[in-house]
Amino acid sequence: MASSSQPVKSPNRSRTRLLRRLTQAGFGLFIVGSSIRHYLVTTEHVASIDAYCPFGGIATLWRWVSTGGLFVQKTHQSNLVLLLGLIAGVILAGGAFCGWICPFGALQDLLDWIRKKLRLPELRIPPRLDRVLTYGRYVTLGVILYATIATVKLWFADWDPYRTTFSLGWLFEFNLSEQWLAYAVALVILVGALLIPRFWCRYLCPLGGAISLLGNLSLLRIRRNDASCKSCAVCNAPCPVKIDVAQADSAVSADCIGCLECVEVCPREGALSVTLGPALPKILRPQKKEDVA
Amino acid sequence: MKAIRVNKYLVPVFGVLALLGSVWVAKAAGAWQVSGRGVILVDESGEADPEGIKGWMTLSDVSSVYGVPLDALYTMIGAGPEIPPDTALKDLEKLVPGTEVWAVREGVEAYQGGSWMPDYGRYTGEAIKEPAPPAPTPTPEPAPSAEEHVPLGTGAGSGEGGGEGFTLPQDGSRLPGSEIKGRMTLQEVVDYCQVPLETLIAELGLPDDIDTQLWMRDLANQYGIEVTTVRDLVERYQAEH
Repeated sequence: MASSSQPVKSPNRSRTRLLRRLTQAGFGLFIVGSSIRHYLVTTEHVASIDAYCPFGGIATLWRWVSTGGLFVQKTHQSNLVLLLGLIAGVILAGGAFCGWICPFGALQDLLDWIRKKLRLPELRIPPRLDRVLTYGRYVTLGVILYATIATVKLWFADWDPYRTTFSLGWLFEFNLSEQWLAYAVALVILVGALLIPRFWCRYLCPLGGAISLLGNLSLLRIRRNDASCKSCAVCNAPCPVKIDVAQADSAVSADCIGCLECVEVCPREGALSVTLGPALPKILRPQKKEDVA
Repeated sequence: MKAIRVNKYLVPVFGVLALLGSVWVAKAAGAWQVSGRGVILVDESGEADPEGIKGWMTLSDVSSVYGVPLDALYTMIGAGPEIPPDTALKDLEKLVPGTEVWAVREGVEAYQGGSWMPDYGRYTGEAIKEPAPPAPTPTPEPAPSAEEHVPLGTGAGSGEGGGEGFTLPQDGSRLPGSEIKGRMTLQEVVDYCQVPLETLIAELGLPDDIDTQLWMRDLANQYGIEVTTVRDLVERYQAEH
């Protein structure tokens, strides 16, 4: 029985983490490479990273539906395709997009790794405040959708820290006088992510908000078996989005990004596992404890 | 229903495959489009809308999509056959000074609306050759000439079109922000759209002493502010007031 709250090192954990880092790096390099090609290749048209963002699909959806096929400027059919893929992915596997694919999530993981290497203290947010702040994602999502519909353009694009960072405008077309606000927002978010793991994802990301809402329907979930779990809380420590896994409902929160860290560190066989189960929102699930087959 | 324990790696595998699979399927179906190139904007009647004319389009594209004969298009932009039909509109400015995408857009709109004909010569925005009937509202103003820039007439212009490509609402209400054209001056935007000059100056970051007779298209040249930006701003203002 584990009596310490220290994470357990295991070969499986290292392998899973390596796989995740490689996957994140692959998608990150694709986006960075696309941006570089967009700036440097002039002999052919190279798409900007705007075309590769599933959130662009959410932002343009209303215009596309209401006009019968028109897009908000800078968005294209690819955004809708990626949105469909994202929705399918979330219904199948919850927030795996955030944990394994999103380059901005990967960048925040990198900043967290740097913080640990520099032995900087983590800024811990009290649980109650943390819960309140997570609603910030829905506020951001609502404001952006409203403003995009009202202005018929990617209203948030000029300040979007993901776009500011990965479009590489700061590298190829640095313009402090016009872009200072975008740079400032990105800088604040990145400094925040250096001190608070996954700061943007946990409190502000509009796409994360949408994924979290839809994640209640996901078929694959990490579930905690109350009978096996001794609530040692070892699983809480490595969670990048600070879910209280040890006290979680049978199905771990829809905010889960599927990084599998908690499953890997759990010292008790079967206490935490990935399961395929009915996709029921929390309020519709029976209150009794579920067994894991 | 009991949950079934499965391999943990199904989480990333399904997440990644769903995303990449959607891309593969879209590519196979020919639905993977990462730019606006090749996309033609159509209006409610299904006709190609001149608002969708983009800098990547060639003269030949514009001619075939919008039904403007190539000769007429050359007259419209004040160029001759020395400009190849496969010249992109965004490159026209270098070859034919003063020809910008917005001018082609408005010219095509005027051609389709019948307010500009090749006989009129190069499209300058002052397309109406026949006098419009007397305006129902205030002060009649002289018809604009090709040589000088004068404020737009306020007449409803039932004749051959709407003069500068827009028609003031006959009920005296304000001009919608979406109708702002490159040939309108800042003062005309203030007057016709009923938006305070101070708001425009503040929101667009213009100097306080800006010349209010400056054309919208010149805002782009001098201050990097596109007409679409002014349209968006005025539409927002009008929606709020």
